[in-house]
Amino acid sequence: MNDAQRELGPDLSRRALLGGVGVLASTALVTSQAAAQSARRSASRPILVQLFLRGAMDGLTTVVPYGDGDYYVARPTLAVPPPGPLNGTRDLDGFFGLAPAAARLLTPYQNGHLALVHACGSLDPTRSHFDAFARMEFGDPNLPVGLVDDGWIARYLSAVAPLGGPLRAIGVGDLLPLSLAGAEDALPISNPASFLFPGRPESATRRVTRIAETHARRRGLVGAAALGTLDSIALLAGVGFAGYVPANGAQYPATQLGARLRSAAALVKAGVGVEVITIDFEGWDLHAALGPLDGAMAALLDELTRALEAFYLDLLAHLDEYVLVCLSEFGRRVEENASAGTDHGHGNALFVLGGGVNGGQVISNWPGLAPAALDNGDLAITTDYRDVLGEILARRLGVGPAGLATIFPQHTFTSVGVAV
Amino acid sequence: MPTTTEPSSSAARMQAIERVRRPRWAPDLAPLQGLAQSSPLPPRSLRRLVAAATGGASTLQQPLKLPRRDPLLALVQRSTQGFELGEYQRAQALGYPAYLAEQLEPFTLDDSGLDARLASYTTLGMSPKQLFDGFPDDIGTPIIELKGSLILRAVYSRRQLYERMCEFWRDHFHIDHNKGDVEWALLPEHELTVIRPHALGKFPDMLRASAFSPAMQYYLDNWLNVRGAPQENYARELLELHTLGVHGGYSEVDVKEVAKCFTGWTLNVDSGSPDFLRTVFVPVLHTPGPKFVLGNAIPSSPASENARRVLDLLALHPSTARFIAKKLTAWLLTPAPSAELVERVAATYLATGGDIRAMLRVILARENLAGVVPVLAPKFRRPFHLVTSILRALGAHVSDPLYPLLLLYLMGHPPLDKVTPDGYPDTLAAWGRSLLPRWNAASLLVAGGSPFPGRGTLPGVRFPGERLSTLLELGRRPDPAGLAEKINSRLLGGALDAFEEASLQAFLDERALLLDVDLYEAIALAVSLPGFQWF
Repeated sequence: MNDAQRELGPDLSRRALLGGVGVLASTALVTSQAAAQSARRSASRPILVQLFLRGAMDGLTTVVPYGDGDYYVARPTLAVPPPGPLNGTRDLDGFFGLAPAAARLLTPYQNGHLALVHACGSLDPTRSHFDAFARMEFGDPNLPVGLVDDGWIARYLSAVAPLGGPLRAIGVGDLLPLSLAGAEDALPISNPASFLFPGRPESATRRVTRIAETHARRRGLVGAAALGTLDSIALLAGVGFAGYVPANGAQYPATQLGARLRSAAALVKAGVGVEVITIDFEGWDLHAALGPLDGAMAALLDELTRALEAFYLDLLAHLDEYVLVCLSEFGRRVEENASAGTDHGHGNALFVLGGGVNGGQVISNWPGLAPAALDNGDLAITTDYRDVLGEILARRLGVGPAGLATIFPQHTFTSVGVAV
Repeated sequence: MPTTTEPSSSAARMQAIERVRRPRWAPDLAPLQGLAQSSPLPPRSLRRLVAAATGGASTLQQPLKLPRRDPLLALVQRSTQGFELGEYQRAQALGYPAYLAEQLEPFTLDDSGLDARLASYTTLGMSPKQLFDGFPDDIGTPIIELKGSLILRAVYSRRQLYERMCEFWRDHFHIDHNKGDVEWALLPEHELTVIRPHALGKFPDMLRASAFSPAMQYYLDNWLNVRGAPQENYARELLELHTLGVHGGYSEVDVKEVAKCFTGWTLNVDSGSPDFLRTVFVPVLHTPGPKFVLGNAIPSSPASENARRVLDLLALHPSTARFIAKKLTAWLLTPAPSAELVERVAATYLATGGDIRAMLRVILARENLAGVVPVLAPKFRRPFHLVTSILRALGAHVSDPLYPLLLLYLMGHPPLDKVTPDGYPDTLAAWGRSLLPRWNAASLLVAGGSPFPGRGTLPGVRFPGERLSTLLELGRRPDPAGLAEKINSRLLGGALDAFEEASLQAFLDERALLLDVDLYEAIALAVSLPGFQWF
């Protein structure tokens, strides 16, 4: 079935079956102020924040295996030096350390609120960004002949009871990530702090009426999105972005990423029923001129960790109200190339931030970087990323075994120990 | 041309380029946002409105309107950057075969009107060297001229199908203008030497032009791909995005071998040379020895022929034919082309050596445009197409495309501005939920281009009041009766369904006296309704 046929065909969505009148069911649900209030009260489940580093972040630079001598053999010019006075790795556990540009993560790590998982990823063999996005975000390594046709976060939202808000998930950006493909009540919103109905106030109610009534008669993705948009304008107007002051002196970088994490923090505190926030941070595909200490990679890590540090400090009193997962589609080749960069790899580092996280440790069944230990020249994967996400879903977000089986079908979960 | 002064190490090459980088340019969206009005409706009243509009509605079975049965109208909708009544009437006068034939031979069409509009855009024809010399600091002018020219071409060119194909190939061989703070200087030439000469030519020619273009060499790092430890960025995307497709039957070994074949092709980094940033082959940077690509031996010499041999293999590979055929058919006809049609188009590709015009003749055959799902199915407009469609529908005079370009930034679809090499998506799933930016753009553009300057005027955009008065038969005191039908049929090519037209008419009927502002709000509303988001 193609896009247009979906728009044309009978509406067989879960919502239509449950509600009988298609998109109206949920819209009617939120028209009462009481529902929104009860959403606020029952918002005991943490908000899932997915921060996706697009382009394949080099986990061997970010979380440096300085205790593995083969790292220095494979990267004669690009390795981050071991802990020491000059540009040294910031030690984490006697084997791994953080790149100097990522040193800000030491605070949440030492406070036990940040866990790092290494040699992690999706077991499929692809080294294509776009193929890897699809497999990882749909949550099925067997794509394109797979078991699912929607995103793992969309299935998470189907597996848990809605908190009752009209906007269950926000993709903070121009487009939704694939992990939210197929999700209901999910919208891409580039700037949640400026989500306003346009035009003259004098005619706004008349125009809203016509937009709502016409979209209600067209069903499908666009109709639902239009009504969700109108509801969300009202919802986000109540968050109070304009006067938002981050707590604990948190200083978000004056970049798009900083603005997006700042909006995410405001949404966490506002408790308006948003259950998922996704943010993309692009630019990690550094085939040339990696610059781990003073170049492109260092600049990206600096921006990323300044934004994450601000988010962490801002939400220090709200640790149990979110869990943030920061991941990338795959890691990079162990051996550096002749243009001072690295090509597409396999295993990678992943971060989990928030309350209820077994932080302060690098969780890894380290396979080693000796040539014989590599997977086609790349860091082997010893932890399936689905085990990390599955544990967060089960222990932090209240998903039961049946739900897990729909989110990551035909996967046998192994304990990782990342969540309490 | 190889020179002995070419630095052989990648580090030295990168240092040479480091010196010419320019400060990153980002659009200043503040003026546009300053023009925007917004309506801070109290949450409760908005929810009540939505509930009132939707609550109790029992007529949810209204289907999305199918494309019209008039194949010529469908052809005009699909092959232009937006319906415009004059274009359709011209097509009617010519008839289907002659209109299609004309559009497939674009250079026989006089486009001096567009040329005049672009005459002052001097940076479009500049070489990288000229651009670096001419813009030592602020690079906003060449970037705005290039991106703005794409909007002007889309709106005003008489070669509408050609422009639509240029847009297609610009995504297929996508390049981000931000790469390395250098790419901005390479892109004008890329548009003139890769995209435009070949958009209706032969795919293998375009592929070769792309592979050796400085812009692509730089964007996918092949200029740094050298013997010893080759890097794979270009090789992988060449196979995955430009030719075979991700499931086109290549292996990781093929990626590595293709990368080796392309070692040695790099850029002249001597900023004093007139050939600065031109593509050169430097034999000492090439990986010697035999290579094997897709089971074919690539002879080790001549070394400079390795890359061309790979391109020839890829260009005539059946997977490439199928990949291009499917993407082209999806671009012009339906999001999900039938296997049968794709095979026919792919067969045409193989039989003609990748002749794009020949494939378009198969795709745009009259029987395919007769409106039978699944051969022809509605497509969701991308933001670029929405903006150009609004401008064309209203016969806009765009003296400066800056503000329409800024709107595209707000909508997430500015030309040549995506980090990843896959180009902007062309699917409902990608764009179908992002509606507020569309309503916002419609409001700013239509109210801002009103011939009655006032609050919210959009600099550089004017709609001719005479044309509208004539088309909509507005008298001295405009009568709202029947106006929605005229807006729909004469401005929008009948994009709105009957119930949408009725809703628009009801909106107009709420005003006893129709002021100009009411008329423009109605048009902004019309292009915000669901029907106009599809074509």
